Amino acid sequence: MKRVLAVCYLLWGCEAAPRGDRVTLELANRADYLEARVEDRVLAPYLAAQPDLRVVQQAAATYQAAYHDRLLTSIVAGAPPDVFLVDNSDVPALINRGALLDLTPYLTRAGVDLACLDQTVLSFFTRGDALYALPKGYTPLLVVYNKDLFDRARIPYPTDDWTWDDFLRIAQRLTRDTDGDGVIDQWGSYFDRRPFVWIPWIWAGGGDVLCPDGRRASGCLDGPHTIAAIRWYTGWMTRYGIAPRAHNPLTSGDDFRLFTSGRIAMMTTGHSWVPRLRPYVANGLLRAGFVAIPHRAGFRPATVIYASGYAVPALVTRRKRSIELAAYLTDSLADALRGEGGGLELPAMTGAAQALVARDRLGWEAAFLRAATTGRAPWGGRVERWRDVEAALPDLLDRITLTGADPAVAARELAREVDRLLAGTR
Amino acid sequence: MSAHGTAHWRGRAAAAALASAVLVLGAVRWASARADRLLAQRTAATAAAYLALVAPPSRGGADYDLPRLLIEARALDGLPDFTGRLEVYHGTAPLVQATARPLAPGRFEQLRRQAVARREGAATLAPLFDRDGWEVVGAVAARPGGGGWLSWPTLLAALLSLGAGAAALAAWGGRRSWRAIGWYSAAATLFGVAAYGDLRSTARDATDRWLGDGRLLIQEAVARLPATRTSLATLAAIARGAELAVGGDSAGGEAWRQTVAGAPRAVVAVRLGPGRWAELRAPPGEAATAGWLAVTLGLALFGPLAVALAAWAEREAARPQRLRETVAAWGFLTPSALHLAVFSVAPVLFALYLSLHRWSLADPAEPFVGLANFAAMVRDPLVWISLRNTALYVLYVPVSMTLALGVALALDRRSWGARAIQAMFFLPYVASGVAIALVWQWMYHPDGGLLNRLLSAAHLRPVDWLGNPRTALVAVMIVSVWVQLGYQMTVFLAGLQGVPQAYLDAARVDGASVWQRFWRITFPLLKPVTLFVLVTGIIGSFQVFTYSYVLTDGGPLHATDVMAYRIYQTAWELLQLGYASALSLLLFVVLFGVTRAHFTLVGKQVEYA
Amino acid sequence: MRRVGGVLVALVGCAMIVPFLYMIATAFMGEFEVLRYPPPLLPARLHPENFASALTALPFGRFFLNSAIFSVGVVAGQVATSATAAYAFARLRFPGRDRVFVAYLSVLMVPAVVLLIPRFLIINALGWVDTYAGLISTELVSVWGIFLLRQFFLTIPRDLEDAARLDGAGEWTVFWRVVLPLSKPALATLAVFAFVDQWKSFLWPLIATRSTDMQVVEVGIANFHGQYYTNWPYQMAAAVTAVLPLLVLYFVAQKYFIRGIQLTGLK
Repeated sequence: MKRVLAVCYLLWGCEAAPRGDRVTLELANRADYLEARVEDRVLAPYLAAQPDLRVVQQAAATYQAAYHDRLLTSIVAGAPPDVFLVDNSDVPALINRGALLDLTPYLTRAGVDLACLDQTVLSFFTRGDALYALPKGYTPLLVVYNKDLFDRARIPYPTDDWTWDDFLRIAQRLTRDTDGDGVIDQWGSYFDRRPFVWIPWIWAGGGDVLCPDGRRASGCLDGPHTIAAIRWYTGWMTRYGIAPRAHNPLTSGDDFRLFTSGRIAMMTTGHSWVPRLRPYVANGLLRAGFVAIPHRAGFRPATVIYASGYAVPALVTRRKRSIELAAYLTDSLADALRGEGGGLELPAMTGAAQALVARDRLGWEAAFLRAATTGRAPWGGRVERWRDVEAALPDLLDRITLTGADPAVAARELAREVDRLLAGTR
Repeated sequence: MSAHGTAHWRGRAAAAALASAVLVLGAVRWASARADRLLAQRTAATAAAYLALVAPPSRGGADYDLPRLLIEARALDGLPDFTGRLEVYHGTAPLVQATARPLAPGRFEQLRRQAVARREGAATLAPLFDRDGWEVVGAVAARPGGGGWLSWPTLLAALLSLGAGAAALAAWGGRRSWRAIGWYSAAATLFGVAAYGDLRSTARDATDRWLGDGRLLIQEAVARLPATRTSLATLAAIARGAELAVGGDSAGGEAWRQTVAGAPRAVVAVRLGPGRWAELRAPPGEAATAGWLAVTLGLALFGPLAVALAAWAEREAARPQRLRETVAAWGFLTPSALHLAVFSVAPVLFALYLSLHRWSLADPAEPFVGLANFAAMVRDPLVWISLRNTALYVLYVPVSMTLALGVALALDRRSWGARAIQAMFFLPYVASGVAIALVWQWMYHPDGGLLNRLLSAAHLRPVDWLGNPRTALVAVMIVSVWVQLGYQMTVFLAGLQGVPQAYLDAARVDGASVWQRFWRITFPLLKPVTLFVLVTGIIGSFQVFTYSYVLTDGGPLHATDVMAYRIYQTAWELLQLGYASALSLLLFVVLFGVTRAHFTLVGKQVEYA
Repeated sequence: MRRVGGVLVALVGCAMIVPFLYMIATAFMGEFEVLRYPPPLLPARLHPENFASALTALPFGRFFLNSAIFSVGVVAGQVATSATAAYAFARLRFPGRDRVFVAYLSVLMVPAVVLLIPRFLIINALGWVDTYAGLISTELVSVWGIFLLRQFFLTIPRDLEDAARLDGAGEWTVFWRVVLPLSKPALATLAVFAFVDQWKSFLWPLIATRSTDMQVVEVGIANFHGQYYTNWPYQMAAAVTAVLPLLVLYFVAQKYFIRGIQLTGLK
């Protein structure tokens, strides 16, 4: 018994041991182990230069939901991390609650030059004169296509100005039963029911799920252009037969596996696929290209841009140290990625992004930069109650594809539901 | 019982009554001292922010012009009505009282690097930042004001309570004994409430004093600074942690309370200029003291409770066995009861409170909405869908229990083979959740999944297990059976060790078949364990959302949307904590009813086997 | 009859571990192979180096130590508190016993999701975030365990206890010398499941700890599972390794579940 007590005491003692006179900063992001490794490397010289500084990384937080769980609990408890990564979809809620520090007054002292940053992305984190996060990176959504399949079918590669009709024609030609067993085993495209993937397609068809003021859906989600776009998008599966019936499992990464095995010719995706596809290209397993999401004839091309940035809590205790750390990370992570040949996101530093384009012989990075010019902020970056809407939206597609509901009817009903959610108080 | 016994219990009761009074006073003293300390801390920070605003910079730098900082610091100390007791340091040099001891260099260096306020004996040392709020160039020390922490009424209530306690002890054992204890309880309640009142008013005073000082400094800053620099945002920096809003026209000097956007606020009017008023609002300190009522009341009532218990114990001493068992039982229960009170009951009370409010995690305001969350719940179609799904989902429990009991009976032997197979059944339970999700997504995969490969080998149509609303819930239930089987089997196995071999052997000798031996001997003796597996299985099935979450995300078309998943999504993805708490209460009530029913149906016969 | 049943159970047992074998197969797969379509069942070539790479990609030694401290601490606490409380509920008569027991049980019915935030607020107020104390303290009492042991104590014949009481033994002696030794199967069951549950728990350790030094295995494994990219072979290699201590534990505890070694009270 005594021995047990002694061990307990020892363990407690280790925890309680004074950590000297060091300043401890907590840094939270949702980096996986590879990103965390890059970050560690980037931080090493910074910490070496400041021996009294200790940075505790909270990088374990895996998927987004778990990251949010942890971040929000610590904010509630009044003990937020000193620097943390936010998505532009987190920004409305956190700004409205005054949880984020306006960084503008400290930028010069921290050595941040806003002119070096991508201005569109910067605007996602800006409200009026105030800047609430230093942009880290961003990605527009694009279409990735399998060049081998195109070549085999003798179809020229698509260009950024292609239309829905072009897309459909190509997809239909690429949907085939290659081994003649009566089962289609190569599909033109892939039907993704997650709203953050299909909403840019609706935009490119001239529609939208919410009205421009972001307060209601009626009149927009059930507007003629939106309904036409939904009908067309769900038609991939129900009418045109260019996409396999899939239930979109959340974790197993079926989309990637289908694409890299040559089962799917064209797929909607973001920059996170760039580092994942490079090894396939390098090993000669695959040739792929990126092209803008096609638009409906008569409407303007459009896509969405998702971005992330480093924020500092409003009531941060060590303002100087925290802001300096955020600024350093923004700056040097971009540099590090320049060396790595691209990360999960495009760096928000324009210089670093340009350098990526210059080095990239596949033309992928250039396609992303071009697509970004037609990019808009996602609804989540503007509407605080977007989460409620996003949770309700998959039902719309499910009803059409699984129960055969009429898109117009389903859209009208969901629009009313979304109106209620946006007006709701819960 | 002997006279010695009586004196024994009575002495203990008297000690408890006295201890209870002392503890209450101690709690009030401690809480008041803490409020004072916090006030000193806030005052120091406010004074530092004020100096940063009014003291001009030295030429060509962000640091202050020293002589001017000295003047400002002394002026601050001489400000009429200012309640803070301060010392200002530039570097380590004291400015207000030149003869005071300078700050230890090590201390200052520490402050410079840590840049957070720290305690220095009784005083608080807050960092003084340069004008850009960037480097620490000095410090502001504030000493707590000290002051009365006990009011006359409370003191009287304390004496009254002690007197009533003495009376109760005097009436010990007599006819009036219980009535005297009743009076003692009433007096103690009064004492507890009065003590809480003192505590609350100390907290209230602290907020008021801080707001008053904040107002004074803001007005002073407005008077000194050119108009261009007196934007509200600039001034608000003085009172960090409070908001400064245009409005208010009262010249009243006192702070008042009002509700702003659903949150209670302490407010003072600040005069920014002729006809220009603003309101300085801060969360009132007394609002955060509610928990202390439970503490003071609990401590105060500890006295009468102890007296009553002692009186009861003395009476029960006539039945020593019962008394001994009761005392022993509570001795055995105390650790778990205390832990549950802190880590389970208190959170549940918090959830109850939340269910009447609207609260999204990041929002400091928690407006009271009454029963609106419950009304919304009744109208929410998803709630009803998830209730139905939960009711269907629970059905896997009896299935897996039957299987588990069968497996346990078959494996209840000593061979290596049996041990290995037991471990095989146990494996799914220990596998990591993420891995389970992945593996089953592949098992259920519409194209290459193992189940569909088996089906097509048998020339059956493949099934989109997780993608079809008709099969998705069944698929999730299969995973649940797979995971739970090993757990239930193990509990049954352990339960089987309680069935004496002698009984079974005797039955065998009498010619009973395997089947008869099971129904007549094993099963009845296993009933407590069966009840346990059933009840915990059902409770568990109500609570588990992992598989819905990782396999189907509640879909398709809410086919796997169970209650626990709904609560998780509402709380963590939609951030509606109030509504999620209301849903939890619903789940709790349903579960309580179901469990109660089980105990009445199955339990009665085995409760006291 | 018995033999047929045994064979059947053995077959089902083999079917039970198929998904687990799949985990192991994945752990040995190559980086590209695992992402083929349709998902391959077996690795074409074994990649045992996945284990070494996965376990060195992150400080898994530290994670295992943390998990062990966390789980052992919780097991010790739960066995102690559960056994004492269960004894009171199963064997002692006192006023309000059944009501108190129902109150205990009702704690089990509160969705864990709701407890998370208040519990975090409590350990934050105590300054225990990112320490073993914070990690362990909330889990020290398990109503599940109390209930389990109570049901088991109910099955123990009273005769032995009464004999001890007649000899003048106090309640503590009866509990310690008579009841506990007779309940080894139940205590072993409780210990095994308390250990496994903590070893597997994810959300609470995720929220209650912050630094990499304090992470537990389950949270560590999740590092391979990013928002955009999951290294399946690494994740499975780590998950398979994490199961091994639990299997060993199960085999050690197994002797208490198995007929013949444990003698029941009546002879």
